[in-house]
Amino acid sequence: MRDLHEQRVVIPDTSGRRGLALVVDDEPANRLLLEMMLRREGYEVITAENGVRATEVFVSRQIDIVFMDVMMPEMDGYEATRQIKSLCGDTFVPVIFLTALRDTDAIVRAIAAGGDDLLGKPFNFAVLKARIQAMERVRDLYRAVADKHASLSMMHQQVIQDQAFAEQIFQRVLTEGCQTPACVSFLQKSADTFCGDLVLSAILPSGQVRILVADFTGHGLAAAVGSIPVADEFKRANEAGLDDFKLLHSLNDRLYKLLPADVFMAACLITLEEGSFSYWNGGMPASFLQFSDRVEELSSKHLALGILPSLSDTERPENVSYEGGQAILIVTDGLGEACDESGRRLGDRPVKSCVRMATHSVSSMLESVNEMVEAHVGKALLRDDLTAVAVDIKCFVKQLPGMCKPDFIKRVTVEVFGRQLIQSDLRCHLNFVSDFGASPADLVAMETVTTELFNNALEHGLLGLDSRLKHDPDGFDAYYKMRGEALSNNPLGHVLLVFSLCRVKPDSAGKYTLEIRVTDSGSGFQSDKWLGWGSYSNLGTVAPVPWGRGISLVAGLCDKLEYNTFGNEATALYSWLVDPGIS
Amino acid sequence: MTVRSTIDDKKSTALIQIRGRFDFSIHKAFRDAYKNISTVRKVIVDLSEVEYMDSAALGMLLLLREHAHLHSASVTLRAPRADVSRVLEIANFGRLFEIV
Repeated sequence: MRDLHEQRVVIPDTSGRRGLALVVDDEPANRLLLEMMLRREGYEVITAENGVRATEVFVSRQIDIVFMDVMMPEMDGYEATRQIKSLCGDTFVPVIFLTALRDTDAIVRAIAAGGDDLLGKPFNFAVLKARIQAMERVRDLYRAVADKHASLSMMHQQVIQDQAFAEQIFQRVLTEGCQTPACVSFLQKSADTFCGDLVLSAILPSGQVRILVADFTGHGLAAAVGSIPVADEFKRANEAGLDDFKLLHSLNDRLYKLLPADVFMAACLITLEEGSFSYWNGGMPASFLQFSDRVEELSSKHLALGILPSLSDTERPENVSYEGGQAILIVTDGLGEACDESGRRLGDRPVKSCVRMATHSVSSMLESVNEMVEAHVGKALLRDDLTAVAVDIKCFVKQLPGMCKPDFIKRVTVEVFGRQLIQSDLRCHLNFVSDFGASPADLVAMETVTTELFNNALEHGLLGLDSRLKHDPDGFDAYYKMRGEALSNNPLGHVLLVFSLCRVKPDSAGKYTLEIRVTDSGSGFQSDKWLGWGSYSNLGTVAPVPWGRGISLVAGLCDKLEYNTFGNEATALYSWLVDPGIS
Repeated sequence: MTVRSTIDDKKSTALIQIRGRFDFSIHKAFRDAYKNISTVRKVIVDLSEVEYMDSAALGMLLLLREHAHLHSASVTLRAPRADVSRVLEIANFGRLFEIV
């Protein structure tokens, strides 16, 4: 550094207002001449006598412009320029070669090495001034672009952060208090941070399963923003017990008021109940109802929501029987529209044949849809969000809670486990039925049914006791001794009590049925051994097998008593009539 | 030009022709094509040369419909190809527009 300073020629009137110039030349006379010219132009000047020095200076000082001789000892101008340019990174520092302009080869090599301009020797002051001006223009342009780029990438960073934050909030709002029914699974791929496709599902108080699959115009944040009021409306309708048509009505109302004219929401709404489902499709691709040997299409019959001010009365959902059906697949248009690298659409036909082939299980159907999309799209970018929702009909039927669903009123679910198994007051769970006109005698009967079924579930299901022991007095004692011991050892497992209250017929308000379902977490009893025990539909049936006393009592009190094939679930129906004067 | 509009004053008809992809990328051109139309009774959107149409295009058609209704004009969609027809069918746009 010291000798560099010694080389500086100090001229008092230098202002350096235009920046710092580096002059590289092995000829002291050339250096001095150029330095003086540059100072007169307002540059501060630093000089170097060869390429090695030049790069050292370039590293240690912030240079604004470089004047480079070609032929120099140690390192020539080409190499020095290459090194300086690679040190520059994203900033633009012009390098002007000092060369005889007739030397074509030198010109070509200078530009190839990264030189930005050439200055002929001997130096001409007017030309130098012009060249500097030109270079400064280019440099300023570079700087302006770089500044814009920096602020853009900062903004971009900010946008990404904001989106991630907003997406978290969205997810929370959309999933808050939502329990996805076990029979619903889905596949979703987004073209953006935010997904314009929306999947909402819920188990209604009646045990029905409701699914809304929706697709807003466009994608990204603009499309996703509408999903919050929709999720809100969906939850509200479920809690208020609104039917599908009323829900669609309120969704349409809300979206029409909220969304600009060119934004709407294509939607598919399905509500499953016993034996059938209600189906409404406005602007979504056809859904598929899968049977073991065929596939039926359910197409869009309505306009999307949020287009017209009000939903007309003719826009009601249709009722579709799913008898013998295995699954329903609901898709958004992003699936059929997914394009491969050359822009070819996937189309609807492959989706349909995928549904027809994948009859093994619902999860395998979604998997093969996923594989098909990935194979088709390859490395291409998704242009739109895509969603495929699968509803497992068999799974839904299995978890159907009531036999008396359409006129369902209320359900109480109680899980008894741990110490509660020893002493459990079951009566208190039944009190609610007295609001529906059950007499004290009815209440006692229902309590008896519940207690008997509970004890069976506990003693045989959880504790594994064999009631045939009770056939003689010694066995009776032994049985209850074993029961006491087993209970004092903190038995594992639970007994689930589900009370579902229904009106028997909508028009006969005076008759009610309580379904009492008792399920234990035990392994059940061998169904072949108890074959013939499936149903007690006649009043007063006497059990043909040993442990029947409690059961025959229950059967006598109820309208109907059924066991499932595993033997760990009993369902009893008890009905009563209400004196019109009371209700 | 992917969007062209011509007005036939004698027939009081405006014709908007679209070529190629009808999606969000042409929304400005599409809007410009109808924003000054206020005197005609009928707007025809010629879709015969549209190869692809997405839901943003459906939204743009709704905006045109709104504009036309403000000026008491009807909107007709003309000669969509099979792919485009399918999109219009799924959206049930036959209820909002005359499609010929």
